[in-house]
Amino acid sequence: MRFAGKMRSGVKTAAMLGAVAAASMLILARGGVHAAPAIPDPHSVMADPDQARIDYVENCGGCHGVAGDTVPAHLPELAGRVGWFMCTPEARAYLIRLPNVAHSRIKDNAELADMMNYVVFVLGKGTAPVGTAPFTADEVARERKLALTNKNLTAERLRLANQLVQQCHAPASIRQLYITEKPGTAQ
Amino acid sequence: MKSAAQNFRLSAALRFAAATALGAVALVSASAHAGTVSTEPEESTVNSIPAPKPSWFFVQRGFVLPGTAIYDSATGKYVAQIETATLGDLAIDPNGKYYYSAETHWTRRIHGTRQDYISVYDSTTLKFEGDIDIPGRILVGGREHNFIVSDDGKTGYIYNFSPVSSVNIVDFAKRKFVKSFELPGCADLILNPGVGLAALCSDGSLAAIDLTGGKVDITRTDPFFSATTDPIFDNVQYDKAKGQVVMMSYTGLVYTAKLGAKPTVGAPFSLQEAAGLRKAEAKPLDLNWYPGGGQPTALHRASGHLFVLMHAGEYWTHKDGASEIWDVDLAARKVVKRIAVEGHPTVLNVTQEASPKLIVVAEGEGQGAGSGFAGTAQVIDPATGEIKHSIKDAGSGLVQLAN
Ligand code: HEC
Repeated sequence: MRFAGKMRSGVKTAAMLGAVAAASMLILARGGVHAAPAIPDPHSVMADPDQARIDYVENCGGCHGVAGDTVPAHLPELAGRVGWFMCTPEARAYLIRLPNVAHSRIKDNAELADMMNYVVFVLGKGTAPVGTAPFTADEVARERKLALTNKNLTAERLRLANQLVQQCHAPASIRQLYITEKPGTAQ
Repeated sequence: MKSAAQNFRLSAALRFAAATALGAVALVSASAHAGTVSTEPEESTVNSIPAPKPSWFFVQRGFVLPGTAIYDSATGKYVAQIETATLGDLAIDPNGKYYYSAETHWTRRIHGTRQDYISVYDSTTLKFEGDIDIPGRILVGGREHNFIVSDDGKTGYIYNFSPVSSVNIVDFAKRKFVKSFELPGCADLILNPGVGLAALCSDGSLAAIDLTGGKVDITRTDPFFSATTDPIFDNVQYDKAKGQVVMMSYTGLVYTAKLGAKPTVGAPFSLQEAAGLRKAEAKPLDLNWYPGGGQPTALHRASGHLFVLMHAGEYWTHKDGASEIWDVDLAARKVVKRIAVEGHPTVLNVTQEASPKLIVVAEGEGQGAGSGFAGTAQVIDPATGEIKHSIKDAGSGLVQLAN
């Protein structure tokens, strides 16, 4: 069962990566918001891309959607955006320190690193700066111990988003949870 | 407060009370004579009920059926019905004056503008008194720890999950929403006297939530349970007098935590070992006695006896109905009695009277587990195991008590 599931999702991942490449070119053509699409070969940033995608769908897809695009809703759209958070050390650490990630049922740090690389590089669709180093097991092990448990995450996200706009020239819409969200409506 | 809505709701509540309060309604009207048209206006009156009694229990009709029925465990008789909503949460004023119903509706049934609010009902007339608007609430229903009231009755806490995890604070004296704060990675609100709140967290810890200062301060104990392999049932038992909370894990580990600014969690004991059996394992196919149901534990606070719905089965059957109720003496860490029960109840509570009564509810037949159909409630004497009263079609949801 598990094997068959993996085979099927392998095919889908390949198809999706094609779609991802096409979509990021569209973004370029539309506004030139990003210097260059930086989608590395999945095997260069994940030990097991199929498992990473399966882990994402199983553990995160319920809220974020299988393609990271569950909007409008009171949560951030990952698709085509989340890679920007790799731009500063603080924002990068935030991705692992989110309680949903830090306290994930995935206890194996290498497996969690793989899944987060799937989120950042595949769902992020080229929004991670060119040359961004993927998450490693060591980094995940270190950061997940520092889970953000005593903070207003909405305010923390906005603070980091401002950093991304100022320091990395991320589009101003990164401050919103999703592009069509009216500013100030997020709770 | 919304006055237009109030008028509508008031009359609806009255009509409802008139239709449902069995025998409580005296319709005073002259019978119509053949051939003549009476111009006398029809007069009707509605009885009132006392403030909630320790023998009363409140049964949610079902997971998807609105309404909460009040029964008296002393008589087995129906008292009245509170107009709680589908997927709503009932909270009972500890001073016995009000019933609070946390609800959610959209302006157009399942779309349009979402509205979250708490409806306030007078406890003796069941008259609607007004709404308190809140920014949101978790849309679950049937859980005890999503809407709780402070021991003095002045403050309400409503868990929200938008899916940002947060808590709304409501001032019941002013009938106003006060503020909300984020509670990352935790849920299941527990009162924490002198501090604010406590909650269970996804890393297996207990959070202390300090609400005494301007800034909400959330600290956590070290992790003591695994939310993945052996989670704690959400129906934890809060004991104000002892300042503690008693918690049960899926495999039957019983934990007691001392509440406070820095809660401390004691070493757990195994329910099965307390009954002279082999400790259950968090392993697939492990056959043993396990706690199970939607509301599987109830604490008789004065005597320190914990009652637990138990069934024989495999690990990870935590929703299964019970074939026995285990009576656990917490101080002695011993199962002192095993009471056989019929109908596989999934919901349990115990009155706080000197001679307590157990209330169990089994879901209705027909559509299978989780259907939310009203089933039979039983009042059981824990001393003898005798069924004192059996009430058909009582409900299937939570059983709550006034104290
Ligand atoms: C219960 C719903 C839920 C689940 C499950 C969930 N998330 Fe989230 N996620 C959120 C919310 C809400 C936020 C906004 C921050 C907050 O309040 O937690 C968020 C924020 C994020 C962000 C930051 C994005 C940004 O733009 O700020 C990332 C990355 C993320 N989640 C990844 C994941 C991953 C990976 C998983 C699975 C391990 C996961 N999430 C599971 C609800 C969820």
